[in-house]
Amino acid sequence: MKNFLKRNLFIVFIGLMTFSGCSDDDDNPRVIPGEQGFFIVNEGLFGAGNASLSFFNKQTEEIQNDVFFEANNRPLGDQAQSMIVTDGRGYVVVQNSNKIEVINAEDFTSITTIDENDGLQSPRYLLVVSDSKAYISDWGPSGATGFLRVLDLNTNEITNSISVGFGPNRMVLSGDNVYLTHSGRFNDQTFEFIPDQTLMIINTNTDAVTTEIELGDNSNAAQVDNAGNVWVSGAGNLVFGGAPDFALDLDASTSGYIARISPNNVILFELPVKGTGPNNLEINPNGDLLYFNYQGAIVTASTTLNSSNEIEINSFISKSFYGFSVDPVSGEFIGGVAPNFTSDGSIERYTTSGTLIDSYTVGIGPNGAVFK
Amino acid sequence: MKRLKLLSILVLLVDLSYSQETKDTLRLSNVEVVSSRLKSFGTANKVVAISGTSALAKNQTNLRQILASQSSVNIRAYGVSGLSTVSFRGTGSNHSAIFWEGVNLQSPMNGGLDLTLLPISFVDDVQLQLGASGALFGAGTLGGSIQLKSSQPIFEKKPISISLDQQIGSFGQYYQGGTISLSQNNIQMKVRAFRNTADNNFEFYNRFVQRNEEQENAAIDQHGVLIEPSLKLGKNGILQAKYWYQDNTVQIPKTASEGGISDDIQKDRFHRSVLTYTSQWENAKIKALTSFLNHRLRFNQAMPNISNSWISEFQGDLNLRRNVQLQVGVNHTYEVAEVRNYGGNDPRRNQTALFASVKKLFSSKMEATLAARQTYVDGELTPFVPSLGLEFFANRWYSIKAKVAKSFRLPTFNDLYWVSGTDNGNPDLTSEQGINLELGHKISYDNLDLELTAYSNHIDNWIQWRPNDRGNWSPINVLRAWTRGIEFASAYTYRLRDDLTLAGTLNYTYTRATSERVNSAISASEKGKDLIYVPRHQGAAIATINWKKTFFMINQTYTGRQFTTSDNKERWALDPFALLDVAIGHSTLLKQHSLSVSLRINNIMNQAYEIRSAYPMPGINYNLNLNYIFN
Repeated sequence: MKNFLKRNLFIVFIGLMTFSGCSDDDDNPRVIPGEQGFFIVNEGLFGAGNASLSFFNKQTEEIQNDVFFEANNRPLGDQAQSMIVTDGRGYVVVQNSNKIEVINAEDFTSITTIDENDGLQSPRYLLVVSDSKAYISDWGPSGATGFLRVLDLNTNEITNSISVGFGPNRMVLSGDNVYLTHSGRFNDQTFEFIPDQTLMIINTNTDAVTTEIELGDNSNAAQVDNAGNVWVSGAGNLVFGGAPDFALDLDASTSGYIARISPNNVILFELPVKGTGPNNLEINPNGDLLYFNYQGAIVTASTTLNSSNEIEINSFISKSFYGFSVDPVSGEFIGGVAPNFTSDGSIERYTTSGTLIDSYTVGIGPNGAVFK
Repeated sequence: MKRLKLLSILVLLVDLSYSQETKDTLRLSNVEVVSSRLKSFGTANKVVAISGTSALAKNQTNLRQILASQSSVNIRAYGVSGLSTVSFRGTGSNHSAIFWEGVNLQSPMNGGLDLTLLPISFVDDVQLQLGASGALFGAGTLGGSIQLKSSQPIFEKKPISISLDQQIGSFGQYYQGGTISLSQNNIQMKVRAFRNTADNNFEFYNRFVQRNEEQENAAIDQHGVLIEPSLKLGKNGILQAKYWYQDNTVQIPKTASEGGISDDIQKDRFHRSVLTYTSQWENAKIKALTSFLNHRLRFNQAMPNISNSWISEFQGDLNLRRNVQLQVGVNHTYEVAEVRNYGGNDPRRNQTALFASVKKLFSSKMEATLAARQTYVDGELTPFVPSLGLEFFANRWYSIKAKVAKSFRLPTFNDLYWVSGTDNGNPDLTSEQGINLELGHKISYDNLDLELTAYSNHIDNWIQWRPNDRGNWSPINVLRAWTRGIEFASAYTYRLRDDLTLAGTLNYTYTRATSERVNSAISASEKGKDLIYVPRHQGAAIATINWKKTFFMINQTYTGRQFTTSDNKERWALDPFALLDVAIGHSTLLKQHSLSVSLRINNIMNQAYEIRSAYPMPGINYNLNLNYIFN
């Protein structure tokens, strides 16, 4: 995809919501501790228990695979979904094992395991909201009820649970507000997908949902730009027809989108080609360029709207990845390649201009890089 | 039509060649009603027979347990009560067909059959036929077949015979079974029923969390009935009806690596019926059967998946001369399925197959069978599958055999039509095709039987469900596989005294199954690698001592390392495991009454093992069996 796409402003809601005293809070909330390396979360094949963790040392340019097993002599578990690094500790969310493995981020040894006995049911993502507190999005026991768990980072105990929507997913912190995306859920009896349109805003002081915004279907990731706007990506709802060709039912499916949430409006940019993303949203270190997948490629979009309130989409890498991340220091793009989930995948590093630097074999199903 | 011609040419060729024969000393057995297609035309096939009444079958409940204990094939079990399938010679679990009374029980939905749901008490005779056999048995037999049968009816005036079985086993297992048989001079009625329940709440070491856990939600509750009336019609004819009903409720536990609790339940209910008419004359035999199979599968509260199959077959056997035996036949199979996840499709499939086999004896030294089958699926031709088997009898105790056979498999309805979320079937799939070559040596000397077989199979267009780079699953004709190996089987019986015999069997298989050509959509790292879950080494040793009315048996099996990822990472390979079982039993006869009691201790070394990654299997466990027979 060499040409660039231009998308029109689709919907503007003005004054739809009120912010509880946070609009003056403009500083960049992204935390960039240390820069000597990053983790790769290798999801593994769902149900097979072959998730693993890799570590890439940026100084020596060496990859260490399976570091959790090497350090602890036990498997990481089933479907490692995400990880955060905070205060020298790594929190690895292993969704299908219903647990979070807490490790020493330097030597990868286990500190503790937070699991169903502590109140987890199907944890998905973690977000640090203060020195002593993190939020965990949790799909609940069957997906029919979603939760936001409040984790005390000092004791590693879950202190509170808030009911949220279906399939709570990635989150972002802006000031005292956490923006929680929702990706919908499968009906576990009919295997049909039930979408969710809600973006929830949670006040980190009260741990209460203050605002609900109806966006398009199935939001999945959020970022904060250098102007304090929150950007949200959503994949839309995918409805497939039956045999013979199982094609995407274009009438029943809904569009993917990028949305900008500012203190006084929400702008939704619908993407015209349905069923092609985005599934993740990343931002560069300057906080002015978004990265997401669309139409089988990685594209970028400036966070600055042009005079007619449009965003421009530019081709960045003409292939898609199972997961991707942007280095918050160097701005390098790291893509996870999962050729299938029955053999090892790899990561590819790209420069800020989209040129391939190198690639490394990692574990099964690498879904992103996590920085320390 | 060209294929049809070919078929007739093949038959004709044989016709010409036999006419040149002059001297034959090898004799064909008389055409017998009991003689199966495998027995009559299975020249050079490797066949493993398991008697339902052997010591091996005592204290066992289902077919999985029996097959696992003697290691001729590889059993893939998702836990102790979960789905178990069979892999012949490194092929996949839907590459072998299971025939009950000549009727293929493979599900049209998924091409498989769960061995855990097959009670051994409903089967008197189990034969494993190894290697491709598309010409003899039709589609879906790339790796081999399992032939299950009841014993032939005996028409004699005998008011009643009864057999009752009670098993009590570890982890809350209770099994009750009974058979009642009534017969007159021209009619026999046999009814069998069973109920089996088990909690399967065994303790295991969970390697993922590194502590002992108790298996939860793994119970099984099944019951069934098999009704078999048989009628002798005139001098030559026998009409047999069989009706098999079974209901199974199986809890599906979470894997060891999963968190949370599982409350999943799968219910499988089936009605299977077959009506068979056979008639025999001095040099001819006909057999006609018609069968209806209904399977209803329900997962939790979801809409049930239902499949129905109507199978009819007619075959005629003729002893043309003293040295030539011919069979021709036609099979029609109609399959339909109602599955909510078929995206509104209502799949139905008509298969018509014409088949023919010719066996010829050449002097006293050799026998040859040429067989072929042509199947039309909804009017379209599928691959023509011939086979040739040769057996050369070097002397009274040594023979060499060779076989070449083609086979194919149609995509299942699930392969074609399944859709759930972002996973979906693939209507563009083509049939898998296989070619099988094998060479065997057989020694039968006194009480010693030795068999050494080497084989080489190629399977092209192998269909596998694969996740794509976004983790969505879909089936594709993914690879060309080469499976080859060596099988060694031996059996020896030594009679020390009249009332003391020692018997031993030793089986060993070496299997290599590799992907030779991989679909470009799949990582090249798989090329030349072993297929997953195919152990290279597998073996079993069984030693039995029979002393008067008491037996003692030791059963040792070994299953080598198995890769679980297609890039063959050692890290994810399953450890090899060796299991030792022992059994002891005694029976008492009192006039018409016989009472036997036996105890089997499974996994006496308490070995922790997994047959499928993250599906724990039980440690040491016990089964006590009481059997009463009134004759």
